Amino acid sequence: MAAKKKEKLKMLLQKVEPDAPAADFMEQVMKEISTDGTPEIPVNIALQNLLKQHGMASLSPDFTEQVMDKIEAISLKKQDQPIISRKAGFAIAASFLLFSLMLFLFAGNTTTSAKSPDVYHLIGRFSQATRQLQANGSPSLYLIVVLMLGVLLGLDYYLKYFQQRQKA
Amino acid sequence: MILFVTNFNISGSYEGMDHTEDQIYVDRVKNGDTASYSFLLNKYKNMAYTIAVKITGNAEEAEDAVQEAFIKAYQAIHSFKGNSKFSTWLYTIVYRTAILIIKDKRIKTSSIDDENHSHDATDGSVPQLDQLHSDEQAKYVRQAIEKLPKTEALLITLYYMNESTIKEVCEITGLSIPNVKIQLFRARKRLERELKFLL
Repeated sequence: MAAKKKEKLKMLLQKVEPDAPAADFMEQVMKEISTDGTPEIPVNIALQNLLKQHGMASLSPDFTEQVMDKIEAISLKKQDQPIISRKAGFAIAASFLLFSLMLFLFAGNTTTSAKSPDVYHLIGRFSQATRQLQANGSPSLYLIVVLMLGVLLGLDYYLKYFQQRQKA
Repeated sequence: MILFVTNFNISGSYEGMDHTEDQIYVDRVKNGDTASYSFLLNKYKNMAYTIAVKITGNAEEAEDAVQEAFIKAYQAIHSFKGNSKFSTWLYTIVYRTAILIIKDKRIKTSSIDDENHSHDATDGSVPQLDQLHSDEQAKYVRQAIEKLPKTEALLITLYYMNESTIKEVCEITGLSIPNVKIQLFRARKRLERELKFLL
């Protein structure tokens, strides 16, 4: 009996059509929420003015001083900039390699016999190139420059590494 | 008659000027002029606080969040490249800091998205506009905003009060464009209904 009543009520309710919004309801909603076309949505100016006038919360008057005191206590971390930029570093390294290669290839004949094995031939050339970079048995200007560049590049690498570690 | 425009139309030229002015002060701070930061602080503190209040729902926590956010922003100012507005960048920090604070100090278990303030401050009677003083208007406006879910209140703050664009709102909150638009639409309808007698 109860089940029959329940079923009747259900059928009765289903007969009633749901309330329908205004005819242009869908159009209005889609216009407001559509992602294409205008990127912004309409603003009710009167509502906006009301919200701007009364909706803003305000902080205590000494807020700025409090924050500034804290900020002044923090020393702004100085950003360590590498002495040589990455591009310049690569350019220096490339020109150094090129210079070494040229020196190596076009150095004068060695005393090593042409018939000797390739390894000995290469060692001979290398030692000759090294001798040419020296004057009177002391390191020449070239070697000092090369050494200094190495130091600078090493420092550059260290600074970058240190900076990355600090960020992490 | 209700006048509708878009935020894009309202705020065009002022934004450009603001953006440049902010950038000047940001550059000064980057160059070690700490005092210049007080200009940015004074300019944005109230909006930052309003945003934080909407997220935390508590004045004290909001003040802590804003203070922390301004310090974080100062420490990270070298990472601000000027690709977006300074305010957008700052409010993103405020938003995240406030979220972290409520996560840390959470007593309630509900999230920011599903929380709905249920306290109904109005008694249902519609007051007459001419009888209302400014203070009373402010009370009704605040109550209407407080009735909104937190996210909707935040979006209303950013879009209507701060005049951020939808893109900026998405950048600050991390929400999608359709989500922001739907929530703003819903919030606007609610506020229009709640504040009908003031509009």
